[in-house]
Amino acid sequence: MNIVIVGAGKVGEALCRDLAHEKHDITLIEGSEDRLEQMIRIADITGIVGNGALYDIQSEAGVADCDIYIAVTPNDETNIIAAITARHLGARHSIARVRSPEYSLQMNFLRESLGISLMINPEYEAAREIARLLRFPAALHVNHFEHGRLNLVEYLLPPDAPFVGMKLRDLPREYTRLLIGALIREGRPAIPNGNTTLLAGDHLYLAGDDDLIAAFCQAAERRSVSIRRVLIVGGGRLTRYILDRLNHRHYQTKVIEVKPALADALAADYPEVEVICGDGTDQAFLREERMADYHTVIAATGVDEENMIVAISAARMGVPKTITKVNRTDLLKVLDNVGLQAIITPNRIVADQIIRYVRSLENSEGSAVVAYARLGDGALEAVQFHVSDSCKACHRPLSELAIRPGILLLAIQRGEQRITPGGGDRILPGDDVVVITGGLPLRDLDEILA
Amino acid sequence: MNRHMVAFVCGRILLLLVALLLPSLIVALVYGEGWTGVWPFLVTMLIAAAPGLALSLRRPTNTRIYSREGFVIVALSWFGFSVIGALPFLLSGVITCPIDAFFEAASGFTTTGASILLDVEALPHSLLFWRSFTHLIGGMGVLVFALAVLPSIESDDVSIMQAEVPGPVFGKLRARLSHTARLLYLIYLAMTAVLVVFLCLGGMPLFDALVHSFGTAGTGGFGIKNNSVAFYNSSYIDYCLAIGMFLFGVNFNLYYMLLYRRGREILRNEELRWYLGIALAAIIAISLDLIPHYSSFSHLIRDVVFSVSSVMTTTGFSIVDFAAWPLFSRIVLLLLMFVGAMAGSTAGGLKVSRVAIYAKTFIQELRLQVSPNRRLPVRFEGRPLGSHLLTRTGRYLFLYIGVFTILLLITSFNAPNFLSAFSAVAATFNNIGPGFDVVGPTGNFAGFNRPTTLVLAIGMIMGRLEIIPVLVLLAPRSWRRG
Repeated sequence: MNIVIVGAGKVGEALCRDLAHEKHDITLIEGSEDRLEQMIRIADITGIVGNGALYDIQSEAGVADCDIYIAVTPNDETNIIAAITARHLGARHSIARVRSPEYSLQMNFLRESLGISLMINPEYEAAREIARLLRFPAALHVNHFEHGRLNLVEYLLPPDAPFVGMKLRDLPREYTRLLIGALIREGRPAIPNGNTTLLAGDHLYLAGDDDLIAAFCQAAERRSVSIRRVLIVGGGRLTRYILDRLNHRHYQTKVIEVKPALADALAADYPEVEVICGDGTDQAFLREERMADYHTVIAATGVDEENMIVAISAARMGVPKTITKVNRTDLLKVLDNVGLQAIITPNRIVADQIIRYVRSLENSEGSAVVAYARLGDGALEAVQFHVSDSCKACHRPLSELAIRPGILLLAIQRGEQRITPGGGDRILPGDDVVVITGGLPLRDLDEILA
Repeated sequence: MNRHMVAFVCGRILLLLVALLLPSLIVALVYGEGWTGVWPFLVTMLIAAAPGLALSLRRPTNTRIYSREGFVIVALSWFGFSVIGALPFLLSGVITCPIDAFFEAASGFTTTGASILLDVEALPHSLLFWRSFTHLIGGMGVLVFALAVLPSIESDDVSIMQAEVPGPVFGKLRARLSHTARLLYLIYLAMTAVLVVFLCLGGMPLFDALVHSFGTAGTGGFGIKNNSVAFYNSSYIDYCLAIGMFLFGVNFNLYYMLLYRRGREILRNEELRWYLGIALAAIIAISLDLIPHYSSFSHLIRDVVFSVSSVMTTTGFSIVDFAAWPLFSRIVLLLLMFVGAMAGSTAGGLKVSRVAIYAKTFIQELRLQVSPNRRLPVRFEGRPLGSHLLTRTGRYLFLYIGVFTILLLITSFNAPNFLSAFSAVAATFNNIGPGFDVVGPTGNFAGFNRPTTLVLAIGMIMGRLEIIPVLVLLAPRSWRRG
């Protein structure tokens, strides 16, 4: 497909890499010549220097006959104008990143009347993910499928867990309905089978009933972690979206924000929340605000390094769960060794969403991609397909299908009914199927067949 | 909430109380009261020592405390002191009801001086001494004393002292907190000693001089005669006490400046001028009102100066039954009860500095109505006041009125008339002692029923600690984690 991307920020960079990797033809429009040259060196793309919202530049980039136009500059208005212009110029689909809550509210108007196909708000998506993480205290990461009905929970197996050294088929009987969809051991991904032995430090991807996952994590931790008190450092947009999603009767929430004006506005908008004005990176101040009493600390300031410091000091003070917002993914590799737990990268979430959207467009005839998530730094993928009538894998029992190695059928959703796939189950048209794969990117459900 | 540290500090302070009970025990021995005089104090000491030791034996690993703990420690210690300080009255059988005993002890520690005892002269010397000694302890503050003498608390946090020392702003004299506390106590005790000498020179017996000096120093007002200071019938003693009371109503930071020869700063002190001005105005107003009732001018001046000084500094000694004065004079005294003396002194009430700030805020508001766009800071002590301090001071008035109203409502169940109820609350909440009508200088608080007595006793502690520590102690949020 022909794809035009405007803006070579972090999201733009991730999109260029991934979409080029999936053999799309990409044209990047970027204001800075140096940055563009840098991008051309990293990814197999072509580019134009200029303002992507301008008619001239867009014409030059061939927007008129491109399939998808993606505007991810830092500026909301530029993105919106660029996406509208592109649609009128002839692009078949246009995607805009829009951060401001005000524009998000008129999302429907922008989509229907002005033709922007998809508007994505990184902070909003990050907040949704954080809210899911609070539901699974032990989780490092929660991916959701089937419109939130199936959660794929990333969980780090602690060294003292009773399951360490056990083969999967020897797991206690109550966990038979629990699916371990994938595991990552020492950075290498694998799709486990009954003979796989669990080791300490494995990153497990658990799917199944939410209560069952929670029970498994609790048994592994040997204690029950229930989150009641939440401390959020930083009072920006992300924090507002998180607060919108928290049930304030259940959580006792405190927000620390350094700018008095922002803190005042937060306190005015969220009367149930304790808003503190002060420097959240100051250790003495955090002690005075009794950080150690909280069950969860969410580091959500605008600066990655500050967030890391906050999370590390929270872990030192004995806070059971920390959630850290980090935008620069190259910092993440350093982090794994200093005991940071859940990490949220809004830009990666946005890139994932756009890629999911691109894939679903790509395969409009076959089974469409409904949801998509990268696991463990992109080494594995979990994809949800909506099964079409023409799917070749339909109607036959799974045991008769020649499924390629390295592919796991995680779940089949038929209406309200969820099926944990066994040899006798069949895929029917209209089902939603979640698949985990370690190999090539999947575009159609048919590709799971050898 | 660092509960371990709260328990630890409270334990240490209870041990301090054990030591503070010792002088009364010695008095019992000196006056040959025998076993009946000694054992109430011995048993009280044991009762205080047991929880004190248990709580403070193990030093907590985390000694860090913040303002929340400071407020809770102060409020708990004051309630603890009042409960345990009540035991000698109970054990000796002088007071039979625990609530009455608690009222009497709270009245002592908060330097109120309100009593439920009908016949003070019947008390043994040891108990009279204990009653007045609680004034001396409570005047400057239990925890300030603890900080001065107990290095083991080792808290470099100002939160405790801030919670206990009255006034809108807390001035630290020396860089180190324990030095500040020690210095304040030295000034306080030295002034008390000087007063004892002056009273003895006036022919007062040593025991009486000590007791009255304690009452004056803490601005408390427990006497040892049924008709208070009038018993001595000596102008010298009356003026000694009147001046003494007035001086103990001055901010102690000013005496510190005097020690370090910064006299000029004292003269420039705006609060002192307001204090003097209000006292003088009250004296003149009441004198004019009383002229027809007095034949001797010197008697008139003596009675008025003494009463104004006694009421304004919230002491409550009396040489004349001012409850029998005409209404105008009574109302002036009633208003003085609310003004109180200077911040940073041992007195209660709203404090002169707050009253001055309120007056200035009203004037500022008027001027702003005339020229709405004008930038007009409220100045006090030569400096413009920050808006934060202004709002806090303003809110304190609302809090004060709110608590006062609730106390008044509860008291009104049980009071014969409005003036009794109103002045009873004013006299206890502002830590004065005598009010008007049934609780006037010749009257007594014994007429109230037990629940009212308990509420008034709690009101005294709230008034002494300027309300907030007690509310923080009772607020559920203080005890929740996070």
